[in-house]
Amino acid sequence: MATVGEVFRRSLPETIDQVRDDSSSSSELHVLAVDDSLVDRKVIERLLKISSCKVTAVESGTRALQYLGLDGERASVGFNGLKVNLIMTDYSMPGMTGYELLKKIKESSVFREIPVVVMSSENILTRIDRCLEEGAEDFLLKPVKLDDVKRLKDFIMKGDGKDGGETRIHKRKRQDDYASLSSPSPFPACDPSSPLMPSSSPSARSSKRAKLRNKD
Amino acid sequence: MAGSSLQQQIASMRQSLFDEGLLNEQFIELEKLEDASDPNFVKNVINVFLTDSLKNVTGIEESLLHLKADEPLDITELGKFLHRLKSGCLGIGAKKVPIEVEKMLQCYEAGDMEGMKTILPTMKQEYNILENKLEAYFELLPHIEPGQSSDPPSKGSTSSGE
Repeated sequence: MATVGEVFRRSLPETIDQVRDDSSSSSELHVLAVDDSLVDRKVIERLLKISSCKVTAVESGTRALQYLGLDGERASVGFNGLKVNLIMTDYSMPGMTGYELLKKIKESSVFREIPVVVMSSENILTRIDRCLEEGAEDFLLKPVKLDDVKRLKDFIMKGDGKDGGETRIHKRKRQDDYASLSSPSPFPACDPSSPLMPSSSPSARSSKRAKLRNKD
Repeated sequence: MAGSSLQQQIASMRQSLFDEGLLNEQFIELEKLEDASDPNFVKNVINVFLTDSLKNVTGIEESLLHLKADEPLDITELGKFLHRLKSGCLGIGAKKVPIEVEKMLQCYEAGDMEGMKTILPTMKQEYNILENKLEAYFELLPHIEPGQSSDPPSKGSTSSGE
């Protein structure tokens, strides 16, 4: 049970199964979920399955790169042939962070077009902006909800992340839920922007995203 | 009738998890994800949570107890345990435990080992309370075969005064 959904390196046949067309099988999205928390992997798998997505859940950025065949070894060894339509990664992971994974994916000429969504339990503006600037499609606050996944799926299905940005996903506003989590006294090491209400920032971020989009 | 009193017991235990501030609405979100295709989803996630958390709590304790006063914190392991425990807690909707874990993480970021040691007993106590209540609750829940059309008590307990 503990390994449900976890994908480790598969031993593949010698021939590369390069299924690159969009109809990778009945127009179901295939999502690669990356999270070091076992609980979160189980939950995200369930969210995605309910949303009729295929899921491959891995425990680290390194595993994710291996799965994609980007781990420095020849692509024929790692690539499993099933096209990934979306990558959802936790931000804070030991070893390679979600941000570092995002960068590696965006640096790859093969995979840079796959939308990457970063998830985090912390609503830190600089973190969010850093990810968006690096090309993340969106930033979700954990715990991720079914509505987030459905919105994400709709967005991806509409244009594979290529549309003009009008239907940009809004980061879910969950600031009030996390008020109970933070200590009564402000964290000394915390980012000073954390008390920001998300409602004041999405428009700023959407315009930033729109600007970033024009970079492509 | 035996059936309904068990139902009542289940409903009341479930309600107390919220009333005692142990769980928040994230737990309800998990319950919503349960259906005939995966009727034991919540139970399974909680089992994963309890198993994983035990490792993390033990790991935290052992890391802290084995560290000498001027020894640098084991950046890789201790931080990993703390973070995974926090993630797991947030994922199932635990309320009190992640607050203590967050305090420990703050100390960890500041290199304050003594601070972490001070918070550890409270964190463990909160975790034990949560663990016991969750185990007791799930012990009462029947195991449902996938595909069975059933009304899991957790979803049907509209009489629990929520």
